[in-house]
Amino acid sequence: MTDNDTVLVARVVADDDHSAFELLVRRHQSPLRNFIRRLTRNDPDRADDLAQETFIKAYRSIASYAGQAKFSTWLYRIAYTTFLNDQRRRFPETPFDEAEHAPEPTDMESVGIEVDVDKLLSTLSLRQRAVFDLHYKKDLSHQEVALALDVPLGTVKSDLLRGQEALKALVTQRKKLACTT
Amino acid sequence: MHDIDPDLEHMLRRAEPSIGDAGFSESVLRQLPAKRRSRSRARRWTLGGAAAAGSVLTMLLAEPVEKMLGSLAVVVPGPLITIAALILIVSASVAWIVHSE
Repeated sequence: MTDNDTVLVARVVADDDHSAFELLVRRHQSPLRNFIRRLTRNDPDRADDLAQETFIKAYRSIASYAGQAKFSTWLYRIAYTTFLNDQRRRFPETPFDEAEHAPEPTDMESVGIEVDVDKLLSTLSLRQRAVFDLHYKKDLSHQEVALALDVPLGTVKSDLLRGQEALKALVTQRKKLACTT
Repeated sequence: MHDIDPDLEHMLRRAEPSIGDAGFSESVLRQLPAKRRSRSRARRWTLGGAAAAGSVLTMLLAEPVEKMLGSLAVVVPGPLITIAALILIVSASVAWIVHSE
């Protein structure tokens, strides 16, 4: 029988139980690292550093986890904030606005639609990538995504809508290209 | 309701590959701060020791103090001083522990 996250968190808070925290890390490391890799446009080393930082921050502030959201949602929130802080440290000159959120230029030939969903998602803006990852890959509801990214629910919905339109256009374009070759 | 391309949705919903732990968890565990347990244990011993020492001192000093106050004709019931001293010692220790946790 495996303890659920809430039980493990309670053990960490009450007894500073490192083995309980280790179980939490083992349980969540893969989806969390996948999430951050997507944010970093697949930079595994940077993503792993940020994932470690996320878990250490989570450990330090675990007493503040109120249990209202899922533990994973709380972790994604810490991860997203950690990533944004790192992004600001790395690119201090870049104002944190639309420019930073802008999608990467798309080379259609590189987007193997049947092969690589990561390349497809990397064409989206930063926040859209986070929204798509959490909603489609981690199965979070719109409300949970809003909570994890600390944005209004309407922003999540509009990011999904715009992202879907962009990806749909990309897929259509790709299909046309495939037909002509 | 916005329609999403079925192929696209299928692809987006496809499970992502699991990333093997490969020492990641151990690395996180190594960076955690030292366990709090030793600190709390030390705190509990300090609390117990301070309370015991305070109680012994109170018991030893209560009688002379009561006698001294009696000689000064201050109207204070003797046991009241002992009880007040004990309450003071215990509540100060508890307040200190709560504050430092």
